[in-house]
Amino acid sequence: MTTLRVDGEAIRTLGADLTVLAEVLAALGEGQAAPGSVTGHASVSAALDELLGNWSMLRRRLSGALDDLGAAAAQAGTAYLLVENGIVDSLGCTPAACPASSIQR
Amino acid sequence: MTRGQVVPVTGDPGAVVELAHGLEDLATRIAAINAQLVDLRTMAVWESPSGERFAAALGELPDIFDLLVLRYRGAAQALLEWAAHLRVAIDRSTSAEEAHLAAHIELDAVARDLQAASLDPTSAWYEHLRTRQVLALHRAAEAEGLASRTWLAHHDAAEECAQRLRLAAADTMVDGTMYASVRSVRSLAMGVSAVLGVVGAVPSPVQPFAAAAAGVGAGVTLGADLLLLIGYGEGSYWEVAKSAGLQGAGRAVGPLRKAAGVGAVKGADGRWVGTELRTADRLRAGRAELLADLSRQRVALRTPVADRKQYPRAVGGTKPPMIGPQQQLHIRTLRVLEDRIEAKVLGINNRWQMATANGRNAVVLQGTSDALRVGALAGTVNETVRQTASVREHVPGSEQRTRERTDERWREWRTGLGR
Repeated sequence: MTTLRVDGEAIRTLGADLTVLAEVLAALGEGQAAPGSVTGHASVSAALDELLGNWSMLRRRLSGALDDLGAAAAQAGTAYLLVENGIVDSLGCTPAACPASSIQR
Repeated sequence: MTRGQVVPVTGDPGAVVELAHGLEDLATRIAAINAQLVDLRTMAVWESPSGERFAAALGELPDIFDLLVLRYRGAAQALLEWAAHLRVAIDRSTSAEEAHLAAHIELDAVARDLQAASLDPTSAWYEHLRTRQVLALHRAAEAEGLASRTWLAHHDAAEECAQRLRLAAADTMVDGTMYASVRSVRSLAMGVSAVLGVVGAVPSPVQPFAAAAAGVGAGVTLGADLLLLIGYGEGSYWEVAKSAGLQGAGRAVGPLRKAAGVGAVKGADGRWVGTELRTADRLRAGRAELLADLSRQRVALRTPVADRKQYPRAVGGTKPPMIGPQQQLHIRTLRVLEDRIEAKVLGINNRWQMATANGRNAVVLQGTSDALRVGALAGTVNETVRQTASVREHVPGSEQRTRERTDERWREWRTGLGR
């Protein structure tokens, strides 16, 4: 028995999440997170900067890979949704005839 | 009498809590994304060319999500506890400061009245004032003591928090010493060469040194880029080749121009008379020019401050002014108009006449020199615009905007956590 089960919306959302994560990780390690006047102590600020910025090599690599994967997932998800819509249309399915269909138009 | 100062602890516990919550939310999101990716890796069956490509892209991700979650959760916890300490320290030290100030106001008032009351030290009024003075002194000393204890506890708590943050940051993701050194050197070289480049553009006794040192800095930056590319796969060969090409092109302009003009002599009638030379001979002359240029740069690097006598006082030299400031301004304006336009045009014209007189290979060399000059200039302008944009991103306003954007994304993420 052949089973085709693709959650295009979930893949697209995952793609968007990965892209945002890539951006947040890229922004987190650059510059000072919070100066001593905010954290209340210079040693806390310094340790926090170290925590956020002392893995820049892996951070750059991870951010780039997440960005690529996010774009790929977003494209794949969008494509699956389009294909699904097309197939639904080709089978003559309308919202009235297929009320259970959750495909967004 | 106590006259010690009480300085309150300052900070923004609310901002620290916000930061901690942001890190906690980030860790939660990373954990959720990791769970989805693990599902995709282990549960999903996507058998098609696109599925294989996606799996390959998935395989490119470094498997460090668990470490990231631990790191950010640990930091969030440490920061939350620190924020509580900070709030208490601010409250206590502020109370101590207020009590100290009140005690000193009381002491000043008592001291003023004591001058009058001291005329009769046996009076009840004098005794009352002395009692008030002792009590105020006691309150001031207590306030100082409280502030001192609060600061000590504050430092201890800060050290404990920093220790926890450092502990959370000490995982296997930390940059290697060599990588961190190369990055630091690159960053330093870029900053220094940018500053020296600006100084090297302004006529002054340190101009030759600054220009030569900026060149060295650019070379160090290029070397660091190459190391990062070869050693750690950062950047691209195209970017490094472009930087090297721009530097090489800038350096080749002079020698090529020199090579094109070798052998040309201006006759009495103002016409250039050339000499037909082999291209190899011309390039040899160009190499001599390059060596002379390098030699001049070496000398400039050895003598940071050039002969001050050759520079006017306005730019740090000792050359005495020959004419008044208004005339100087007038002459300078004329020079801008004449030297920059007429002399340049004449120079270009002369060089091309020399090359034309010298034959075809000289024309090719001159043309190459001019093309390189235009290309290098365009590349430098492009690079400067890019670097300026990069620097602009580091000005406080831009950092603030970047942070606000990141905060906004975090807020969106937090809103999305309930989904």
